[in-house]
Amino acid sequence: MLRATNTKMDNTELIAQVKNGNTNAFRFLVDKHKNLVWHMVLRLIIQHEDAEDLCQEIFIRVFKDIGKFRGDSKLSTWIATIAYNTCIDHLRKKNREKSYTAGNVKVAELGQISLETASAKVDRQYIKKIVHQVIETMPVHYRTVITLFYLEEMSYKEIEQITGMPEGTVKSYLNRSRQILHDKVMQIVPDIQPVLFDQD
Amino acid sequence: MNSDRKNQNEIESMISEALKAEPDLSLSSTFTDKLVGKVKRYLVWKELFTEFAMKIGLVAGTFIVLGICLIFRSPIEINPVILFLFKNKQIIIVLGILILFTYFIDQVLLRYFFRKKISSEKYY
Repeated sequence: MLRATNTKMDNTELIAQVKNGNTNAFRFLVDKHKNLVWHMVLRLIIQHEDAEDLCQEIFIRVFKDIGKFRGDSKLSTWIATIAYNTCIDHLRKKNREKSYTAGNVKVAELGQISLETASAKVDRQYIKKIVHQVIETMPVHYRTVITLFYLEEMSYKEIEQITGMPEGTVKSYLNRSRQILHDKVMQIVPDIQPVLFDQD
Repeated sequence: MNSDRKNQNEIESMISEALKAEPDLSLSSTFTDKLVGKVKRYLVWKELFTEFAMKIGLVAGTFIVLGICLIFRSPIEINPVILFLFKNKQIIIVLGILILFTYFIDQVLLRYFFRKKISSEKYY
């Protein structure tokens, strides 16, 4: 019997074993890719109470559809595609996310968050919190490209394969989201500047 | 001027850092076990259902082939049988559904729950 949890195996063998219904191999696959799926789900759906169930749903889809994987892309890209499509379906079903199809979003319309007043506690952690709050207010396409590019360190080509967006659109979403984040942080910088930069 | 640029760079680096930061929430420690358990149940279900469908297909196929053979060999003798079937079609349909349902419970549901019980006793 395959001892998938203890040994290293390449993706081809792993896929073959999962196709044969080897649950140890599937366990190995899940352990290898669960962080990718978890990060995507958390960033895309926002409602964290549904996140773990959705991760399970994604991996069950992966198991059922593994026979359709032809090896044209990396296994992680293929799993991320399933995660992306499942999250989009979930958002559509729940109808909570109104702006997931938003094409042209004005910078001013984004990042409408309630900021805490700057205090002595302001530091890098605070900036991180602000950045994450602003990300949550962005449309799902922006959140997707940000997560895949920065957190998962995927290339434009891989993001294109996952989301189906052209490379130019991916780049444009990345630039615009970066601009939004910059603007939002700059809005609060006058208040936090003394704390941020006068520490040295 | 230099200080402004320095501040801008500092902000940019903080944004990059925040974008690359992993979420504070993490998956539960039992996530993989639960998922693999679900997949095992799915595999059992699939196996039992496929077996059931194959058995039904085999029985139905045998009857169909027999019927066709009879029609071709002795069309006159088969007429009363066909008439009888048409006359009692409601009872035959109800009986068929009942047999199918009982067989499904016996071959799929009971075996599924029995295996599930055994596996839960084995692992937990």
